[in-house]
Amino acid sequence: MPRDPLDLLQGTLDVLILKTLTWGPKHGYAVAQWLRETTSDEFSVEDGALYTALHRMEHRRWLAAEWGVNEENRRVKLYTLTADGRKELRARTALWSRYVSAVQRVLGPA
Amino acid sequence: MTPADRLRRLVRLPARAHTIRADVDAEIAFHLEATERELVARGMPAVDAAREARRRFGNVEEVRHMLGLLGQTEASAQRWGQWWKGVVHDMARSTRTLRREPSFVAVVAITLALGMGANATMFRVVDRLLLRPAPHVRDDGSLSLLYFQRETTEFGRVTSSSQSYPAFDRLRDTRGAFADVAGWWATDASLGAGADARRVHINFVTPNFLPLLGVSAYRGRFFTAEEWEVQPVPTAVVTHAFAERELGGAAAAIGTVLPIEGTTYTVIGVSPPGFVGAVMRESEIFLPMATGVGGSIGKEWRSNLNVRWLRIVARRAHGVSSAQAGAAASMALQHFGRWNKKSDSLATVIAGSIIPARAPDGAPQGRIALWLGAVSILLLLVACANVANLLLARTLRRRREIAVHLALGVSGGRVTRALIAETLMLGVIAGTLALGVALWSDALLRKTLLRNVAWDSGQVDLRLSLFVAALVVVVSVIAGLVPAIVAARTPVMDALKSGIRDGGSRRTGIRYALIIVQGTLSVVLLVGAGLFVHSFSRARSLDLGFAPDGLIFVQPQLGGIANSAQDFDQRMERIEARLRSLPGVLGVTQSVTTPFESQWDKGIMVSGDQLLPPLKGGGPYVNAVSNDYFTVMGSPVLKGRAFTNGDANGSPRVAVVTETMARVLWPGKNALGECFRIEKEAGCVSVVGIAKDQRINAISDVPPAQFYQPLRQWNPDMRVLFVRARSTDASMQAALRRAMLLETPTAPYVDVRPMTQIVGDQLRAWQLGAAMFGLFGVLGLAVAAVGLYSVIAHDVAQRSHEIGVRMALGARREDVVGLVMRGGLRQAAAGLVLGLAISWAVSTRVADLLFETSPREPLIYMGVALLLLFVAVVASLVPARRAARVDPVEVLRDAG
Repeated sequence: MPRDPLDLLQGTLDVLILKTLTWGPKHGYAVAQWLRETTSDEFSVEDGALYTALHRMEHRRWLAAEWGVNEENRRVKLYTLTADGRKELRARTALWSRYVSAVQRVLGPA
Repeated sequence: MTPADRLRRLVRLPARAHTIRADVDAEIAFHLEATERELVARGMPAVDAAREARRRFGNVEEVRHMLGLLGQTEASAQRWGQWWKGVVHDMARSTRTLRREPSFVAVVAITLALGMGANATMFRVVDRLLLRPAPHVRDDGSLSLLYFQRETTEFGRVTSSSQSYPAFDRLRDTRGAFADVAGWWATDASLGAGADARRVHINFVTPNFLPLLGVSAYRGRFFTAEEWEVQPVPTAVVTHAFAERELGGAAAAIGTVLPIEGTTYTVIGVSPPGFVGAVMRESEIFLPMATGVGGSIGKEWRSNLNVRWLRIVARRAHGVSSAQAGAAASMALQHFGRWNKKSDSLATVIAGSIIPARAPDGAPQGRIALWLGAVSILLLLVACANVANLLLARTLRRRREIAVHLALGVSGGRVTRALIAETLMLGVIAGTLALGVALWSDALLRKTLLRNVAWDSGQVDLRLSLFVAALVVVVSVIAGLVPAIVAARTPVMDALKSGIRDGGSRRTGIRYALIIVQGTLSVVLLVGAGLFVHSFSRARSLDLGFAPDGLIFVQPQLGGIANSAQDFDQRMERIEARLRSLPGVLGVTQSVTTPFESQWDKGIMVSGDQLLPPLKGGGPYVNAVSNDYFTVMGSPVLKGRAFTNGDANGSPRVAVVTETMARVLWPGKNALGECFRIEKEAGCVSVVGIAKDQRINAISDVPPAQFYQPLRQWNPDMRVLFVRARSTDASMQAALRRAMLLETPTAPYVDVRPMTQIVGDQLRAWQLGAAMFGLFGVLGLAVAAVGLYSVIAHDVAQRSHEIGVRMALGARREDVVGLVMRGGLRQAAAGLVLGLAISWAVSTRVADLLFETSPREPLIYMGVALLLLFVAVVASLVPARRAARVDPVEVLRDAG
């Protein structure tokens, strides 16, 4: 039975994008596709919100952006992870683990 | 990547706005297209796919707008970053370049610092005197100082700031004009008694004075409405400075007791630091009017219509303009004058500015300050012209370096910016020095122009710093712009070619123009200096009619020491004798009035005539003196005799008149033996002697008609003493003071002053004008001389090749010297002619500040001309002689 997609908790989108880009430079559409496939469509993310997050993180120098050309010779904007971005990803991942394990301790084994 | 992207990546330029928008649009368009294609591949019809793609995106327009904003923020941050880096780079480069030329930096910095420092100082003065009310006075536009103007036949329009108390009371009731009216009287009084007594500056005020000015108590409280009447416990408010100095601080001051002129006051409050009253006069203590004024003005001070002593400040009613308030008050005052038959109350009331220096018929300090401000601006312009010249010379020296930069592709704009950065750096150094100059001259001003003015502490405050910063920018632009533009326009090929030695005739034209400007300004300043110095020397060498050197003025405090007139005379004689017995004293005399300080006039009638001819300068003035007055004062009796012991109480009444009085009242006749009547007195007074004229009103006023009566025949209880002594120094004054205290042990402070000090106070305005103009004139001349020297020296260096050729072709040393000097003198002459012409035209506007000096005095102009020519000769001589020592062989060999 298809479940209703979950809304993303605040701040999660950033860390998801950062992790996605560890797999290599991608343009915005590719990031959206990857997220959809990897989470099996669990989350509903407006594409607009995704692009806003990408630009915001570029502004904060966690991502570097470059205009390039894809296989069909279309102009696309490719995002790459910077060193600062990797640091941020590590920090946020650690934070997420702590969060999850704390919640899990309260909820107990299912 | 497209070529455009490749280039942008290479150069990393910040993107323009339309590029940002285009990029955002492209990114969003790609996403929507890709989504569409995916949906179509899954079987959705194309139209639905497009709609679904947009739906999944969210609010496309909003996202596009947000991304655009983000992009622009990014781009502008980048632009700022680049600009800032450019500036830092320029600054670093300037520092490196300037460090290699320390003497150049020193000359420029000092020149500019002098000009800027002078301006900063005058700014403080003008700001304090003319732009702001007295410290802590809360000026919301409704405060007015009141002035009273009358038209008189002798003196024309007279403006005064004092009124009688009844008139003040009447003005308080003026409906519709004023919300509140307060009065004050500034005077000096004695604090303590006997040997510990000292003089303090006090203000007797109405109880609403302090609240009306908007001042709140720093500690304690101010007067309440009860203090309109005499209180059983008299209260006082002290200034913060007084509390700190004398009472151990503001907190400790409350409750202390001050004995002033016989009354004991309790301190109830301290005013905020810096507050001195409504006008900028040194003040230490505020006392309620009801308590203390009676002693000086008389017991009837509340109803006395004849004495005008009170100054008035008012808060106008809401919505009432100064003109309206003035008109309403004038009507009230004139009604009052007619009702009380006081014709001299028929004055126009002017609700003037709360800024004291802006009084109608202006106070001289304000006008002098403005003139000095204008002068310091001139000086600054001279300094800027000089520095511009130096910078231009330097630019020309570095033509080759600049040409290389331009050839390598640096834009003219960048070159200009770099040079302006250097000039700014010089300006900043000069500005820092200028602050130091301003602080130093602040101390100087306090002793001269602002002697009796309450001046803030000499610290650098925000307004001054902002002013100096603004000056730095303005000066850097003025001085640096022309050289910077010239540098940017350096013709590249010409400069890179070797063998070119000339300075560039067009450039030289600008430099010569600058020299002429400097010369002109210096001449104007020097002419001003000459006029004021002449005024001052004329004022100093005036024949005062008495001999102030070696004369000391003594004002005894005699209130209450004698019970009857006879007792009083005896005590005065004893005092005279005691002072005469002191070592070093050559003579002592009593007098009623003092030149420049007090005058007493009486109406007289000459036998036969009921009317006196109009007397210029007022009068006739009267003085009652002891027998040896004329010898002690140095105003000898020229014809007839002085007073003797025979002129006593019952003897025929006699008088000694001054030359002017004799000439005016008995023209063509011998005044000796003539007779006149004093108003309200019976009998005739005969003239037994004619004495030298005395200047008694102001030093610039013509000596008026005056007559003397012997003290035995008229003895008012107003008395001063004059002592002629071998020396007038501090020890003599102390000896006199001690002797006085022996005679009157309970007396408050005794005023002992050398007469030269009193005369000096009269001369102060001209002394100041002479000193300041002289200083500025010399500075201006020095700056112009340095400028002329540097231009000629530079020319000589540039033309060394040409000079070598000339000498090789047979010119002698003298010819070369002559050649160079003629050039220098020509420029100086041009500046001289212009400067003299401008001075000639403008000098009439200072005519009323001068004394016995025509603003077009030819000797002064000639003197300035000679001085400038002399300086020009000296400034040209050194480089000229250096030119003559050029070795033609060396120079010609160097032609490569």
